[in-house]
Amino acid sequence: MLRIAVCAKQVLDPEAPAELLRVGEGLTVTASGTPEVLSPYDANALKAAADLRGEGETPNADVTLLTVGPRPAKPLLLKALASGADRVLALRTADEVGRLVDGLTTARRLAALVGEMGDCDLVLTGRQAADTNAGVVGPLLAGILGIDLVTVAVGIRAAGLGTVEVDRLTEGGIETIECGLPAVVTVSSEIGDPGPVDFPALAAAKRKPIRILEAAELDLRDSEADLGPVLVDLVKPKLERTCEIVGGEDARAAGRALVARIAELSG
Amino acid sequence: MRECANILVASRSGSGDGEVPDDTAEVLAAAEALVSRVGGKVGIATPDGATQAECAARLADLCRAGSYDLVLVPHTLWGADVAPRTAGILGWPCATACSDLDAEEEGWTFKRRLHGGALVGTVRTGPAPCVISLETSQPTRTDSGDSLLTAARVVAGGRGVGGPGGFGKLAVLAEALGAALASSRPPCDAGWVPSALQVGITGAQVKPELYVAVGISGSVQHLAGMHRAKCIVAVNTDPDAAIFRYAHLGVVGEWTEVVAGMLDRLPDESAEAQC
Repeated sequence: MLRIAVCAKQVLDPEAPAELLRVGEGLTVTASGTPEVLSPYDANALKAAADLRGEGETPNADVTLLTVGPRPAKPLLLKALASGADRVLALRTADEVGRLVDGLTTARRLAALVGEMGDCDLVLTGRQAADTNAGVVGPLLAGILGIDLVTVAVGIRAAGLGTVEVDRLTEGGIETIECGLPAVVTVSSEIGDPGPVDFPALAAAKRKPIRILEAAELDLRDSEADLGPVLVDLVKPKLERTCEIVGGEDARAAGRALVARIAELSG
Repeated sequence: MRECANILVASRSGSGDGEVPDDTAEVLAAAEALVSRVGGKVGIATPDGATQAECAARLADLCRAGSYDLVLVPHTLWGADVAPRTAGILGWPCATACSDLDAEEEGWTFKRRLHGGALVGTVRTGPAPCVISLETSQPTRTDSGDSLLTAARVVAGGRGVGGPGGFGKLAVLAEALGAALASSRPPCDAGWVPSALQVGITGAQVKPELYVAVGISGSVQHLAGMHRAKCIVAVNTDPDAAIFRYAHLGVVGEWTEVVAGMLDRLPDESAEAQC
């Protein structure tokens, strides 16, 4: 059976209005009233894993959700379990102000969690997180584990023994490659979302194991992390501008006036 | 102040006449500017024809052999893969989509956008070597004729468009403007349009001349994909919609009426030249 790890990050919901974001003390980012979610591309990775697993009595894969962060949220973990994960293995970390950009530390921690799993054939994760937008953890993880890497997958299928077939996005369009396992594959939104979960799935999820490890339980050499890049400032850029509201007698007239203004501005 | 930079610039090769592509030329210029201030050397590697895995392995070898301590690549789909892949082999930190690279104290500083561009961070590295992908002014290039990424004009619809039928009407406006049709995330999630049309953190990031956002509220997710458009036009019934904070031009009103009015002035494609 294919053993799959899905690495997922908890982030502020990127569907929140941008003006809610605030930079607080120690460069922490908050957004009033905005819930945390699994980063959307990581949710796509979970969907890919759930599709490979299949449903029913004899699944084709075994899926472990791996997450690293200061506040693993049980409702999100339960939702992931209801969306196709068989168990959760989380690493609780200290609040790490200013370390927002250091994907290498995160990759080392995830590598330790993969090690904790024992066997793992396929590591899936999103192509980038919705907060840091970096896209480095998957590739760095592949480097640390010393296994193959495929980025920006838009389709993944089980192929022969020990291989998966991956459709990936490149500058030349979509190419299909056969990828030997073990491997890390980063996933794009084209794979689709896990979608909403129903009550029976949620009830079943409550019987699945959630294991939360503390950093001290894993042999992590955090001193090396000090070499990584550190966030020293974080500001809201002046994206906001004064919008010129184009009016008219009614909405249709405003539409006509709008075309004229667009022409003036781009002329 | 850091006194020496040994920079390896990596790129896909250009058109075959020995010239580097425009995006790499910008990265090369940034590397040379840095070296002219702090000393050191700039090497260039164009591992042509190889897979990204082979490119990264070759770059890692070059770094070890040539004592390079900074690898710079353009932040393209290719660069976004090769940069962290190379860093993974070397065990170096990696930062992507950076700008304003400079030397400071023992390492480098640069800026990068976070939360889809709603925030901009300043990052400082230590003395350790690292791999950085740099944003360039070049448009995203694809060979697949991906019209959304390269379109000069984009018409995008959001939840407020109401359904697949609404997108049909928007497609008429897009055609009249000579624009590509796009969407925010909710319509893609709802299956009104294919996910390939999505603009945002989890979709395309576009830089058109004109971006018309219809029935779009202006989430972090969407803003990330379109805030670099030269002229942003918002149409929304809600005068408090966040999108109006980022738009150059706006109309508050029922979008079907506004679009009908726009089409009055854009009767067919021949009118496009006047717009």
